[in-house]
Amino acid sequence: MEEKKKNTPLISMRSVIKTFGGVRANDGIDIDIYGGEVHAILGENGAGKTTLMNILSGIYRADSGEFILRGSPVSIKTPKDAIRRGIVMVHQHFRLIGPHTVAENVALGLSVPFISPLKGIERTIEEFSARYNLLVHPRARICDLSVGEQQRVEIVKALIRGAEILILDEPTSVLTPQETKELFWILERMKEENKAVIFITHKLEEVLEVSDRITILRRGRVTASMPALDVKKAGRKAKEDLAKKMVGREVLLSIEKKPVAKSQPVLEVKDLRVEDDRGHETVRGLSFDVCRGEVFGIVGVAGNGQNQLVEALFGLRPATGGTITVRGDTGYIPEDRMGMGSVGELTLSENCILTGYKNSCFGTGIFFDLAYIREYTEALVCKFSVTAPSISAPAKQLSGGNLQRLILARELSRNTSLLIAEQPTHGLDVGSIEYVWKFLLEQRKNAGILLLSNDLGEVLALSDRIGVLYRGTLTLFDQPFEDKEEQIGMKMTGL
Amino acid sequence: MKRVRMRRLKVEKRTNPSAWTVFCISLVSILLAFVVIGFIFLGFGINPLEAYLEIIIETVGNSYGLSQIVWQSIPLLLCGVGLLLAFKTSFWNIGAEGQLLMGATAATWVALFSPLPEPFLIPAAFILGFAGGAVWGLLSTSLRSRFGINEVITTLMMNYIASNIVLYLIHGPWKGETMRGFAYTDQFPESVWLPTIGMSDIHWPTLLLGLFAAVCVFFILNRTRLGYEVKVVGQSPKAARYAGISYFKTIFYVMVISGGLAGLAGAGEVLGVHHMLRHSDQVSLGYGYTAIIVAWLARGNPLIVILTSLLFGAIYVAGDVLQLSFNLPFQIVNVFTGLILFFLISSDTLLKHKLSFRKGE
Amino acid sequence: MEWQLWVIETLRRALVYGTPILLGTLGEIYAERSGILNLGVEGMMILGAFVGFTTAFVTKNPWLGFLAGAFVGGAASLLHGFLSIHLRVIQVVSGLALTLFGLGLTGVLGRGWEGQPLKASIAELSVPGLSRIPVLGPILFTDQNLLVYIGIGLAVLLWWVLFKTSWGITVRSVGEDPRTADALGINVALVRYCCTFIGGLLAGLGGAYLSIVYRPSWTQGMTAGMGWIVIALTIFSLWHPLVAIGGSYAFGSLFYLSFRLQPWVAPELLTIMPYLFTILAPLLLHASRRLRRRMGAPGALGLPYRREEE
Repeated sequence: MEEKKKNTPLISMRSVIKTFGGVRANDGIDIDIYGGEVHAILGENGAGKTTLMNILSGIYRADSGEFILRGSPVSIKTPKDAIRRGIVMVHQHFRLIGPHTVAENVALGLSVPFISPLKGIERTIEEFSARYNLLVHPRARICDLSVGEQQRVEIVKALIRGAEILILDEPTSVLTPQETKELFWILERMKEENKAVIFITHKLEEVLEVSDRITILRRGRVTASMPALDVKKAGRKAKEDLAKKMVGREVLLSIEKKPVAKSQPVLEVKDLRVEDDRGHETVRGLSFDVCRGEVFGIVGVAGNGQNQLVEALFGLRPATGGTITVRGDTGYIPEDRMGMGSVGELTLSENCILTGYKNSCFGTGIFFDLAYIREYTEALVCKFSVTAPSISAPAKQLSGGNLQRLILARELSRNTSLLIAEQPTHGLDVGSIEYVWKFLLEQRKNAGILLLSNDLGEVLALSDRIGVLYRGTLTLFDQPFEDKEEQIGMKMTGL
Repeated sequence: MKRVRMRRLKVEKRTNPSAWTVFCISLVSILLAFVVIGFIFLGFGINPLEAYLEIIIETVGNSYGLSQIVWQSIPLLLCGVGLLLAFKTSFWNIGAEGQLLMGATAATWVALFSPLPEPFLIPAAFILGFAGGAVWGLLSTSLRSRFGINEVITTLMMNYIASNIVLYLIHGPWKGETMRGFAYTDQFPESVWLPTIGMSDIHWPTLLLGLFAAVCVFFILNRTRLGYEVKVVGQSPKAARYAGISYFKTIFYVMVISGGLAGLAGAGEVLGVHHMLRHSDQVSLGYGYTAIIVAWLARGNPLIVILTSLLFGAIYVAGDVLQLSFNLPFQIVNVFTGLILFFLISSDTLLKHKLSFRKGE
Repeated sequence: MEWQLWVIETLRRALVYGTPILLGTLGEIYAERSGILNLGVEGMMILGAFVGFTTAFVTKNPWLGFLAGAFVGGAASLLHGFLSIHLRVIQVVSGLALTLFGLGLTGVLGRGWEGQPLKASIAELSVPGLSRIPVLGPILFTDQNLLVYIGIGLAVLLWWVLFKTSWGITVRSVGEDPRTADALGINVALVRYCCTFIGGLLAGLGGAYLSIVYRPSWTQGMTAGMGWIVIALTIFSLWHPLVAIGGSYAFGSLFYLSFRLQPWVAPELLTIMPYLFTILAPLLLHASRRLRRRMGAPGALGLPYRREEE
């Protein structure tokens, strides 16, 4: 009897299909989730993990497919349906309301008493906090909490809603190692209560540490599913096998990097201090330089001061201390391609002159030379093989990869002495990634390149020197990196 | 049991509606507004068909009606072109009415009180009219840039203030001596009256300025760096910051033009129509507000403002017709404009989406 | 001692003159707290004023007038609600259209009613006993009308609902972050419709007050920009119903003074005062920037919400 119960999955997903604009994000996925297990879903960006979980939690609706909850089929059409059935998702970007208190956030959507709704909730929060060792103060405002604390609020929120199946989307990407450990402890606790945890990630190592079962997604399909124990036992060979199934190619992207003669520095930063919008100092005394002929890679988990650093370097945010010296002009490939790097409603040619429109080659005085701008755009589109309906089409019609090529084309053609590239390949397909890398490396001949990325692989592949950014301070590493990989990884997490 | 086959409405995003689609949908929304107004006619015991027939005969049906349409469209054209530029920058200038009135006031000062020799009076009145409107508009800009105060509220409040300044002037310091107790200024000397075309009321210098403004703004938007800055700021403030475009500098220039054009319209009204400054409701028949829709309907193209201002000029003339023939209040014009605006913005949603039926389960 | 009487009279009248502004502002606070920017307050008020007046005139019952005025304002707000919530139009333009439409329609329909005095207004009342309290008595409890007290009561009630009840949390959450609220099973559209409707009801009631109590007659365009003052005051009061009480009465006293000072200053210049104050008041607020940041506008104000997938 006990055995049978164990063998009925808490929830089964059967041939789930979801199409976005002609692309199959989920292409017939079957997964069984059991109670008392941490089930890791592993896959690259764009493998369809988040889409699948959004379907399970009722945010998206599947085109077809079946959900079987404790042996009986159910339909999940809205988030409310999902919550009622005990399925709660903690999104990568937390769904918390910043100006409100913890208790208000938790109470939202619960059937709390109309009058003085928070009294009971505050007590419940304290109970749950104690039970799972989650330290959250019910009256604290969300915007005053750290990212780790906010995640705990999300988990409390889920537990109080009676979550039987908790979905965590990339939960560790924003956490410090200590916070990660605490999170894993909580997950153990939930397992003891026979709840199921779905853990979405692309990090192999932590998957092995915490999960019981691993399912690998690639291009919307399940490519493997196995108990984590098997992988742990089999050792290194099995891990490599797993990675192969995840990315679908023999080795990770590698790129030939010819050394380029390094010359004088184009950017010198001394003891730079910058504050964020709320007045917290997030860049705390950085000093580094970037020379012509090199890629200086800054790697770090998101939210360690990258945004403020870049904004200060590009002159969008005042520094509160220190000096920035740039020799020549600065080119900048921003992380936010659609909102900042391009204007969706404007045409390709208008986007091609976004950062250089004041340049006299585009026209004299107040007037533009439209013929030249057209010619210039056509040359760029051709050289960087941007696929677009026409140069007078609005930029919003471009795919992510093509848009990034356009931005890259614009910034590289400006021939600035310094180029800042912020997450240049985030969310791109493999072809585009290779393309972007190639051009960045080539540009070293004329410029110094400052690369900021969350992706250690990318930074290792491209950089001549590496700085690890953690809580607004920088640790520098010189070549060769081969034996320092682990060390750099540790620094990223603050160890 | 018989199974009923349902058809489900399918909504798809439409990325780039063709100019033809835009035209048709706009036309349909205007016609819908006319249908709704028809019910109001019915409420007054007027046969809508009869009313519309009468309107058509009296507006486009004869040369006098046509000249009246052009005449009414002049202030709408000037204000509309200016507003279009402001809206392109996503700066909600609702203050064309006040800017027009201040333009009229400045022009009146030139016509009545300036010591300039005669040949310079008309150009000076236009220049000062432009300046009056521009300064009135720039007050809102500076409040926005210095203190971050929402421009919708400030430009609107400036309308009421401008209106009361005009009232103060015509009741007080500028009250005409020859006007026997009426609240007008003195009539302008005939040398500052604008010439009109033939027997019509069309004061062609202002009309010419309006057409010139439309073409100019068209060139600004498509050919100049300022136009480019306008488009980037209007679409994405973040991208503008990235491109090194100053928001405040851009809205400064835009409001000089936008307010200035409304000021020109005001100058044209007092110099070409009234030949005096009078009650603000008479100087402007809500042109500044109607111009919002004139600009909106043109969907970003200043040359189309020439057409849309003629359309609303016709609605104004229709308002006159309704007043004379059917004894309806002139306020009916505002009902027209409000309704057309409602239908227009609703049709925007249709433009962005394609509707079709598909078989459902 | 004449100046003291002056001050007391000004404050007493401030309550009378500020009440329509208070009612409108309370409504707009609710609409904006749920994320709907309704710039059609002027239109809803004038509709409420006209329908309220005609109803009171015909039925000779001012209370039916208030009810009808509120109802018409509410109905008009639902039009804006439909356009902003379902059609997701630009809310600024939709509000403007509502204002133009309201002013135009009442101008057309109301011509025959101009200049007719309304006999069925509500009584001024003095609270026995309380009116004898020095200073406060003459201000608060002498010759006031019931709507003044209803306004204050509503302000307190709406404050309590917004900050002390579960529905208040829902409303504020929808206005701050509709995506989060939606993910937790809140019907975002419904909440927004409700709040927009409350906004319309109160704006309509404020309008009816204008034509029944404030100036018991109907004049075309009699709101004279009061709807826009309401929108400005919503911002100055930091979207807080209790702060709105003070702000409304400040405007109320200005309206009274612009009437009272006429023997000495040109009436047109006095009329400018409230408008000018509307523009300048934010400058005062600007001085305490920290306060502004903490109590900023609702996060999703004026932004249409659509589910990710759509």
